[in-house]
Amino acid sequence: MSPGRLVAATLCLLFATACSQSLTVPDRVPEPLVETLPLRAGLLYTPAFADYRHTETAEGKPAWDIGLGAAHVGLFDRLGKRLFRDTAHISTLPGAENPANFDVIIEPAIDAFEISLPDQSTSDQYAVWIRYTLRVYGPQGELIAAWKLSGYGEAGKSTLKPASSMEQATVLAMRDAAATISIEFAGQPGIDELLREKSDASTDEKN
Amino acid sequence: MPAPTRRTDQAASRLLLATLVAGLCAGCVTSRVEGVKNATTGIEDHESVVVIATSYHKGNRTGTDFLQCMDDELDDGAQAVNVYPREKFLDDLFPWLEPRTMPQEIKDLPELLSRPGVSERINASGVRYLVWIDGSTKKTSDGGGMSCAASPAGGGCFGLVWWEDDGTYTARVWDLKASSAAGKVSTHVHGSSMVPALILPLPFIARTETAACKELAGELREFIVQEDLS
Repeated sequence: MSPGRLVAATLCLLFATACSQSLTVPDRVPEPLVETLPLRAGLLYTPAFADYRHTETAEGKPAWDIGLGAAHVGLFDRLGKRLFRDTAHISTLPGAENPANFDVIIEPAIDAFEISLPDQSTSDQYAVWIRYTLRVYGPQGELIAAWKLSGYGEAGKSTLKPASSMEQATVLAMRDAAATISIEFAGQPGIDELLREKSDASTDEKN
Repeated sequence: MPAPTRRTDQAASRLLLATLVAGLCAGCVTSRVEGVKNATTGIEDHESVVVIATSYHKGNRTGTDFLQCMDDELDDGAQAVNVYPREKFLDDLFPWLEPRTMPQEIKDLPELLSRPGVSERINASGVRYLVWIDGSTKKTSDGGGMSCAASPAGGGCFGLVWWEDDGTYTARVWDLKASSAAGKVSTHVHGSSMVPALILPLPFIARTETAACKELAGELREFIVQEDLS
């Protein structure tokens, strides 16, 4: 390493909060302890979702570059595995002419990723909001539900490790959203009807 | 020019005196601990406790450092109790102990325990006591000033900065075996810190949060280990 780079790296370490911060959020949200729904689900991850990155630059503030896509693919894979009877990835939305062999197609999207830094609030906390839309389609690609939900996480300030605090707040926001999905998915308008129909059909079959 | 020199000497003497007087009080911590026990407790060798912060959705700001300190202190000393890893417990029971979903009051506990798989996982973990921590340490006042200068001949700082912190924490204890609230322990800690500087800064820093953690954990250990209601 050249002396110039060494000096720059040292200054960055000393004044970490003033330097650009880059991180990839780890895939750390566990599988939920919930009952499996009697549905087979196709998981549709668009490139915009699977490769989602948040970059933020403001004059006089450190820049942020946060990779979220891979962790979210892992999160929805794990949610799907527990929440549904059977899951598989699909790459395109089916249509009436080529219906899919699933009860539902789940297409998650990140609508917004917002952060608040300790110097922007009075709380000394890193705060993260993630806003999602979860679109649920039927086997022929018909929209059953478009559920808007959000996750919120916060973590205390760590003077020399701002990326670590941001990572912790982001993982907590993802857990928050995953908790909401795990518990409230079955009760969403459209999904509840589908589950009732499934339950009625199952009862008829038994009779 | 004798007068300015004398004034400088007097100022330095006063600062030194103020530093010494303040130094006696600075870096000091005062604390108060209280407890209320509703039921007999006690813990077997195969049982453990888990320490969890109450919800940040409800405004609680207990830091992870404080929780880790509680874990370390509870698991230490003559009355050490087994501490179950918090992250593993939260992951095992995800999503039922998340800030948005966690039970708020003891009357919510039966509903949590009735959820499919929850009681089985709690029994498998061996966790008997769920300890809910609420509270934080905040700076309540500060003041003073310090200036530093450097030259090829040398450098130094001159001045005095001070601040005060208050740490208030409550630990509510739920007995999962009895499905009841065993009681609570709370602590209030006040810390005074200062950094006087006469060429070299001399920090007298009160470790308010650490003191609060040690006080609370010590009382909590006694609360759990001593079976009687006293």
